[in-house]
Amino acid sequence: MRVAFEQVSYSYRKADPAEAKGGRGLRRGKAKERATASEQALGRAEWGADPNERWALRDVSFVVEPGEFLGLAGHTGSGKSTLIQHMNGLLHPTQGRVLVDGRDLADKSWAQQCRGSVGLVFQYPEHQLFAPTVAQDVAFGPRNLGLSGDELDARVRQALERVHLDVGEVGGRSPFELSGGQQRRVAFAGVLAMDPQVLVLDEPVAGLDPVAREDFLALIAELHAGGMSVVMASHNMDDLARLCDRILVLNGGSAFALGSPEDVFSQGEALRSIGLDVPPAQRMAEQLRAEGFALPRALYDTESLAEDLAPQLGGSAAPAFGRKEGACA
Amino acid sequence: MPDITCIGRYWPGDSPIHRMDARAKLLLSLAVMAIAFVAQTFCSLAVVAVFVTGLFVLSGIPLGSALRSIVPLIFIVVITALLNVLFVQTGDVVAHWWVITITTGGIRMAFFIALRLVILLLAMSLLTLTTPTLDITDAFEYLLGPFRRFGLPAHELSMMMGLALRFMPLFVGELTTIYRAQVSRGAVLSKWRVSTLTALLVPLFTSAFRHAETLSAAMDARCYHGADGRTRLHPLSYTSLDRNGVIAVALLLALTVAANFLPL
Amino acid sequence: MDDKAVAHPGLAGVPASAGAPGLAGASGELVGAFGSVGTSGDAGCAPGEMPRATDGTAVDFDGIRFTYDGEAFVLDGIDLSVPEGQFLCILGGNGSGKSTLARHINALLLPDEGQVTVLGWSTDDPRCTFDIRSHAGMVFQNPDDQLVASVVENDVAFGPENLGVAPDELQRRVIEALGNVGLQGFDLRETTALSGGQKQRVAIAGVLAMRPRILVLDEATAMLDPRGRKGLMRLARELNEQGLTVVMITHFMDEAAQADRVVVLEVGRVVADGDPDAVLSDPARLESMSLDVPFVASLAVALRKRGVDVAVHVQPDLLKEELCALRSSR
Repeated sequence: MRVAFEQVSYSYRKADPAEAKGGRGLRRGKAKERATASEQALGRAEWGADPNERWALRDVSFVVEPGEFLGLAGHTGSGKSTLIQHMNGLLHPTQGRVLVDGRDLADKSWAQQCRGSVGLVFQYPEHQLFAPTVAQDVAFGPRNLGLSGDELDARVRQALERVHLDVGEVGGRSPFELSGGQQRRVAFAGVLAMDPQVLVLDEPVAGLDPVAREDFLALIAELHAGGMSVVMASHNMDDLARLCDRILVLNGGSAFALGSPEDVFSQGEALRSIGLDVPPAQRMAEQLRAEGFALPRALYDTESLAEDLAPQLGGSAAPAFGRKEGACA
Repeated sequence: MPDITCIGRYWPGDSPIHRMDARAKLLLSLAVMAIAFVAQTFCSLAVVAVFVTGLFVLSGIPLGSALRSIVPLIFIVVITALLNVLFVQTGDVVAHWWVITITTGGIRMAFFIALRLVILLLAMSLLTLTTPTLDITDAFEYLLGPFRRFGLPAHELSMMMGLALRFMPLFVGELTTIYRAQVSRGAVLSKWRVSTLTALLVPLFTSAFRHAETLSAAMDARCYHGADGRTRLHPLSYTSLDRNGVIAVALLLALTVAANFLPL
Repeated sequence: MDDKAVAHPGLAGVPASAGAPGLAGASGELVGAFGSVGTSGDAGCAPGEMPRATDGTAVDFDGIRFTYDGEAFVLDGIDLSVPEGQFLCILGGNGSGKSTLARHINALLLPDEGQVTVLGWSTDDPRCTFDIRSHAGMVFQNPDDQLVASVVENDVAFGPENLGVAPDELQRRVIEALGNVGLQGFDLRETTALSGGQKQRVAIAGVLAMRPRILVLDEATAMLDPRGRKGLMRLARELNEQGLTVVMITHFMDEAAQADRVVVLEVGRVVADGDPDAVLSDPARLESMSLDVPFVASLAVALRKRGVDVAVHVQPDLLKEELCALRSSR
């Protein structure tokens, strides 16, 4: 499944003019029109034409290829959450369009169909749990898609398995009895039960302690390895560097940078100028490079940094076999 | 400028209206609303409308924004107007379908009642826009004070009200997020199902309980212990502004009653 | 609640005199001094009396055990003493009891066994609760759960209002507190319109307005974005430099690395206690305690594995310096 953003802009103040008028029929008509129109019909506005408009997104274009892991970086207020909500049609662009597999999401019926295929997980998803039992909560999604009976049960079981929970053990319990980390897994399962092809995550590990964090990120990596496209918004540059194929950096609603982690994180100064930073290992590499160390790689993590540094300090690039792991100095 | 379409929002300012004592504002707002009911003709209602408009001008809040602030409640006006149009049968018949008869009297009444409702809502809105909610609840506490001897927990009630108003925008935001999360899981509001409603309300309630638990600990940590010995940052005190306000409203009453007798 | 009010007839209207020890005035110097304390009698604490501890101990945990449900002990024998002026960080994974311990400092929770003494007052004595809570302020994790008012100045004034501070003094304290947290001019802003970091600052201002000597931050940065976290850490350090004892509960390594002293809790017991370099430099041990390893420590360890003899630091700058020194010595 391919998700494409074409010159998407979004403003809080004025909703899409086509939506403001008339009923469904009119909307569908307009959407079909847009779906077949060429670029020139999209009509780009002059920025600053109306000083009262607050543009949460400005002219953002990118594509999420099938199976890709796209990271979304940007400080609070940069438009990350707004962008995420465009991916499954919760929000519609004021200008530009969002296409899923070539069809415009402004077409309400297509957006409804895509609800299951583009799974959106909000921040602190455990806050949306509501059902008396875990199994019922996870079943909410697929039931809305029209499933029932054995097929529904199977989906629930599979979804819980994918988040490493056992339906026999937790299925009948109230979600509110579980620990925070487990609750979040249940919420995840609720989205996975709809069998999405694209998983969109807004800060999935926010508020988790270190162990739970690592577990969750491993889970997400696992899902991606199984073929799912993942879009993940995060504040943690290290996570993005480790997991993503490409990273989109937003600043003030505009696309600031889009590229592989190497491309994006080799622009340390530029990122700092907009209030972000690079992963800690990369930062250290930048500083050491300025002190004269030879560090040629575009992107460093802890191990690769040690590898390149050690020879310059009297050690060897590869870890010495049998050497005791570092204890207190 | 603050997003005005939410009850509990305050529009900062230093106008005479802002500076009036909250208790006076509360009572005078109620008085103005009562006077809106005293008005029986378009002419007298216009007097009240002009007065309320004047108050907004004095407060420095643009009338456009003020009208926008009552938009969430506009449905009350619409429903009431509609009911009047359909059920008041005086004057000449304008249209007639099946069992529904629309008369000039009905239309006239609908306009009148709608206008009166708008004035009421604007008066209420002016109170919350020019008075910090803590002052409003303080005012309630003072005014209900005498009833404490009858067992009315005036302070606790006003504290509850203050907290409710302070948290309302937060819950509106959370409800929006909850709604979007459930819609993302395929919930469709138009398809009425109990599960859809519980999917919206249960998370809202759990959120409220979550907030309540920490909030009460935070209040305890800040030595909250009820009304005893509690002072106020801005103690309420009457000034000449309030006396002027009373006079103004008294004049309004007189004018309105007088205008009732004008043939319009 | 009413009993407490009656037991403190002196509190209502107690003016915040210039002699009250606590946080700085606008000039940055301490108003009042440590040590201006009342006599340390054994008669429990009298209302309004100055803190009794003259030995400079802010908080003392003595053999603390605590359970919520009567079965599992969330705190299982804590002995810890926090001197005044220290920047202490309490680290721990999920279920370690760190938040529970924090809530014993301001008497929100009382121990089942042992005693907690704050500035000389015992948390067991209900007559001392107000004094303890006004001198040991706490900021919680969720910014929204602490703001009681729609307008900033009203929220900051909430604490001292409860203490019966007079209106003009209240005004002074609000301005001073907002200045101390870097939010000058924010007094009339709406609390709902603030960012997470700003809300936490308002919460801190609300605590500072009570002129505390101890500030407890219970995972106060957990819900903030990186910018908000950095800002809050900077503020905490500034306040500590001005004399405030800071107890910070966290699971973020980079925050712990900046403290004077780190205490690690695991299953309700203290398993490590010392300065950050000592405690945080053994990655294997940290991982076994369900904690994150600071990047700098990982790098140092990775270098050591490759034969580079470098000390394991927790501060990035120190490691950098050492690496440069190492290279030039070759």
